[in-house]
Amino acid sequence: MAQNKQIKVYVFLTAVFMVLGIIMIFIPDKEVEKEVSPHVVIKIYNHGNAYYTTDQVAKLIMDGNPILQLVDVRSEEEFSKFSLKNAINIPLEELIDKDKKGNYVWRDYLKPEKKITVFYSNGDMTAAKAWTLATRLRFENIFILDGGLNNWIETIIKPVEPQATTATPEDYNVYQFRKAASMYFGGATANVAPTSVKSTVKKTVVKKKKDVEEEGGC
Amino acid sequence: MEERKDYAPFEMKHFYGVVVFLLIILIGMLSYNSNAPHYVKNPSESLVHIIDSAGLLHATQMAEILYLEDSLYQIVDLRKPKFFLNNHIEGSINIPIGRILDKEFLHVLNQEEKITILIGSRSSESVIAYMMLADEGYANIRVVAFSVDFVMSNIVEKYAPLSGRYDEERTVYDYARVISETGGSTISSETVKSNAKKIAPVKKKKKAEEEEGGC
Repeated sequence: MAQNKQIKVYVFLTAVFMVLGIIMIFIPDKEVEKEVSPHVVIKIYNHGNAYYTTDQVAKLIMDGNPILQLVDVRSEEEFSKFSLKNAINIPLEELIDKDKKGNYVWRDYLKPEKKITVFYSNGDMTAAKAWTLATRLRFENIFILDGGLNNWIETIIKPVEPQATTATPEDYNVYQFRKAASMYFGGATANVAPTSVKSTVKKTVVKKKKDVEEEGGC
Repeated sequence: MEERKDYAPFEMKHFYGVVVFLLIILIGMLSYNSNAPHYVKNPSESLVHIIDSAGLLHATQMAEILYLEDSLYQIVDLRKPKFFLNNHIEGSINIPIGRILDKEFLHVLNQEEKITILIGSRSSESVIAYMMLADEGYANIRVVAFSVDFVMSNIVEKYAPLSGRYDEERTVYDYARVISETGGSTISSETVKSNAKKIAPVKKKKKAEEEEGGC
């Protein structure tokens, strides 16, 4: 009688594990969790955490702040004609290229430790495309240069003096900074100290994944 | 003398019940993921889609749609309501970008009858919304490379769709020349070129390293 009971338990447990195994097959692949959901991407954008202004970027470059990493997402041809100081070129087309092991080729640049990565293009549409893909793929601390290089020229290289009738003291502060930045980047004749724009740099720390392939060695 | 307590005898049906209950909890926990992505396009497909500029409407096409009052199209303004109320394209619908994926707008944005044109305060805003909707499988979505302000000033108030910022990604300046004209003490065409040569091989080097491998 007791032996019968024991057999019943074993049969039951076997059935349970078989059912469990079958269910596990149909549970979604964990791979998809490597991506951020569309809702989260939109949320990040909507919270105003997607852009870096030209003033912020200029300030970081002028300060020589190593936290900044500029990524030019235009074509190699455009990059070779002009690029911002210390920028690297990752054309949009190559952004999610993978190597033979299936790792993103640019992973180390897009997920660096303690860096802020700012994508830029001529306007900010191509940079936004790159940002959306990178954010979806969980590359963190990625931003878009507000207005791109066109805006860089208009604000940093050729700043426009505020109109006396409507300008606030803050407008003049920003203008003074831009004149100094113009001198730094383009060699204008202004003589102003670059101290007026408040830096709003977030010193966000990127968690470094140490799961990268340890290369070399036999 | 101590009183003896009577416990209900353990029955197999209790054991079965507990196992089945735990199993249900376990399956629920494994399969539940509130933030599970719902993309119908994988990242590579999404990239190909945007590189091909699929779904991109030009300013002249937009002008034609507006002048002909083409009812096949609906314009969705992605800006915040306060900007929409201040000024907007006649007949456009306001769905702020933060709510673009809300279920209540699903039937508005994902439909076969009308083609939806997304437009915002800037092209980057529109393209981010576009990519998310297209990658989620929404049908008949289009995007523009200009802003609502451009439409108001260059299409609605006057017919000049090919002037101004009709394509925000277009190079407006010869950057190197502008810099050199401004003085160019720190960045000139020459230094930029030499920088480019220095930086570009980073990728090649990395790829080469990875390809080598082995002993």
